[in-house]
Amino acid sequence: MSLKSAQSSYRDRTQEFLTVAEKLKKSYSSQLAPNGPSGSGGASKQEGPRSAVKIQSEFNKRASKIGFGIHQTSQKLAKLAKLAKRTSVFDDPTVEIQELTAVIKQDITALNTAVVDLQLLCNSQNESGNISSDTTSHSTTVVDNLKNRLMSATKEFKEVLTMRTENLKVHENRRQLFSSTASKDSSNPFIRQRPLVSRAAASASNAPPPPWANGSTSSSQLFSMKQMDGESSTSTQPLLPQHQQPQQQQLVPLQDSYMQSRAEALQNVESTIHELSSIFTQLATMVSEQSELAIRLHFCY
Amino acid sequence: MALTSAARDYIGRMLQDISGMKVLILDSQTVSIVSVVYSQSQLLQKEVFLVELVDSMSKESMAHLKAVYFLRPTSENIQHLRRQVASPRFGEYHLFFSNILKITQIQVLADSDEQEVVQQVQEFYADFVAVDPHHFTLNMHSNHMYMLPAVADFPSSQYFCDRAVDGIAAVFLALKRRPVIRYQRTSDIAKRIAQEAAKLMYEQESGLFDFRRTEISPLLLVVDRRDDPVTPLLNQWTYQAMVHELIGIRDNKVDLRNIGKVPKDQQEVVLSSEQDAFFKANMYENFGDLGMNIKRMVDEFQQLAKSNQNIQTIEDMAKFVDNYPEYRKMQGNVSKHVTMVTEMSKIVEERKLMLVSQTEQELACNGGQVSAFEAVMNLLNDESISDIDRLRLVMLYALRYEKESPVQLMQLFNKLASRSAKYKSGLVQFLLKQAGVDKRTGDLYGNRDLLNIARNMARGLKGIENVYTQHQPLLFQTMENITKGRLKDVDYPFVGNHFQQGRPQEVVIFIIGGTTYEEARTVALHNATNSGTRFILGGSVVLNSKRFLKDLEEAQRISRSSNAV
Repeated sequence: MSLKSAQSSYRDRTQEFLTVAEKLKKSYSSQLAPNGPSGSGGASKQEGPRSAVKIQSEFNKRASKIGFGIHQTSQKLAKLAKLAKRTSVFDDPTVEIQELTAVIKQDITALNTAVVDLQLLCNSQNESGNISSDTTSHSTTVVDNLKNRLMSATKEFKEVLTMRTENLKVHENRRQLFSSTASKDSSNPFIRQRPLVSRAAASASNAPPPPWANGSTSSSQLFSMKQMDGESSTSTQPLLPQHQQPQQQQLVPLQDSYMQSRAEALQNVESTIHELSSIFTQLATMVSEQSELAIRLHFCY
Repeated sequence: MALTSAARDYIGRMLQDISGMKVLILDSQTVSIVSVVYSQSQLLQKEVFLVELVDSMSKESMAHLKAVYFLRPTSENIQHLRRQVASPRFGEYHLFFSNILKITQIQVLADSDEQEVVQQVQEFYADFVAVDPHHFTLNMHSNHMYMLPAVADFPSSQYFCDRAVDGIAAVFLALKRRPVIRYQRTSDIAKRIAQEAAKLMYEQESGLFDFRRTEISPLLLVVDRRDDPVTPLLNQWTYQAMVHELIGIRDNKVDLRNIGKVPKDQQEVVLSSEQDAFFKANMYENFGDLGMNIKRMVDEFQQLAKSNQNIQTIEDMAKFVDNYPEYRKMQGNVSKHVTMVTEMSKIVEERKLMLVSQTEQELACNGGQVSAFEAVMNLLNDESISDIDRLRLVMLYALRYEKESPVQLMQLFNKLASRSAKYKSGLVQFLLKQAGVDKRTGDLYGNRDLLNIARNMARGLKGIENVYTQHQPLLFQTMENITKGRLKDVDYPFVGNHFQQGRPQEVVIFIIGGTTYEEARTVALHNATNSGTRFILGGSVVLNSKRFLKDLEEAQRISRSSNAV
């Protein structure tokens, strides 16, 4: 102290500075403490809209995916319809149709579950309540729209399948017309094909049975080939019937398996239609749930 | 009680406690405060490797340096500091303020110190520019403010008062004293500053000013420059005052760039009584004696130079090498003084200052209105007299013979207006309005009471030593009155109920509007006599006639424009 008094006076205000700094730090941190939750609340609020946006974008993404899926399915449907409309007896793209049908069926089931999921998502959002009514109505509309589209797609699918069955029936009738023997043979409509094939086999002498998916031109070629064969193998005539017999016998089990596949195809179609109808009812209930909104939306459009 | 040592002690303490490499950061005011008491090499000895100004700093980060800030606690500085502390460039921050910090300022700084770089915050009361041990100035920018009426409350008027009070407070804190305060009754600004200083010392910061009681309190006397307008108008003939009047001194530095051929290293020379023995010995000598002393110095130097030329043995060489720095220093010193004296004698010759000054001194010291009028008229007609000298002559005449012959005064005004193109009309009248006989408290011309008249007569009979330095500033009388306890309570009232008991031993006289080196000389000579009372002189600036006239013009311009509004 005596040493200090010898010097000129000064004042050390570091302590004051430090206490103020300390106080500020405290008040800052205590500001932070209530601010902390509220700050993080603010953050969560910030997150809230952000997550809402995220949910919304998720919803949109899914919706657009479903929309795209429906579009693809309807394209496939168009293809299927084109295939199904083919009425030619010989060139029957059964395998393709079956594959396509399976794919479309799968698609539609997947889409259906996706739509249901979307609906659930939409509902849960609506329940959480931190989304504006506009967003809610938007998402509901989107879901409804998707459902409608899916339903129309399914309807179309059903129509295509019905048409296919019709076509198959028509084919049968035709075959009955042209080969009455076969039809008499069995009440099973698929066995009627046997005479057709046997005749074809008879005409197509030693040529192996062409795959059914072959074009009609090939069958006409076959026909001409058979004629050529007939002309060329006059000398071997006596041999030929002998040879032909076991071949024909060989063909019978082949025809049987073919017939079975046809039956399976028809059954497939039938079961698909059945399944479709169940999906249909499902969709129908869903739509009826939303009917009120749909009506309102109708006004909007 | 020497101001320079107090200021140097402050700077030394703030630098020596911090070890390692330092950067000293100053503001425009503290740079003067430091530079008058510390030289560059002394700063280097304290490991200060860089000096920067707080408002123009580079952005480069120098974390290895410790920053020592020495600033006035102004709001601008606090703002600069706040930004710089928030994004620190230096490793440590040591903050020193030249005056009392407000608690809000500490809060602002504490708030911005997010990275906890501030090591200490101190108040080191070196808030004055100690040009000489007994003479300080505040280097105030708007020095003209004191002439403006206090009623018209200019925004910068409060700033002016605050700065003056700050400076005065810092001086007393540095001296560890609490004074009784007196002021000049006729000056509003003196009263205001005295009262604000008293409020600060006895109310707001009474704890800070509570020093060990001395038996007799020191005295602070606040006076107004306008009480003695004559001193700053006179030509000066003593060395320091003359250099300031003719060339100009700023913070003990003389700028020689404008006077032609000067060697590079001498464009700005230091003229400090602390560092220059020759200057210390001769700063109060008159021009004639100075010439002789310079001649002697040059002779000595020549002898030294001759002995240096005469090198024959190895020992001579060794001696020469040893003495060479001293020799260089002396050479620089000699050439510095010779340059200045040569330059001044050139100016004296050009402006016929001998002639002018004789009349000036007559006007200031002796009576005789008729002869004075003739002398001034003659000089006005003289072609070789410069405009500023004409103006000063008329002003001196007007101050002296304000009431005696209005007709002749008018003649002089007209003459002045016709002779000098640059003369702004009404300036002399403005001076009379500001500092006329009705405004003055002190007995400027020694003609108010019988005693002074008698003394003047006696002096006239005794004869005058030197016709050019016969003028004694009013301060001389005031100091005499203080030492003899004759300062009238009516003219210089006390502030509050703190009265003087007995003769004060320490007196600080603060002249609002600025001091002159002539007055500083008067104080120095008085202190040298060891009469038991020591004086310190302080002012808002150090005046020469140019600065005084500039302030006058500025004040006239402002009061005119405010009147027009």
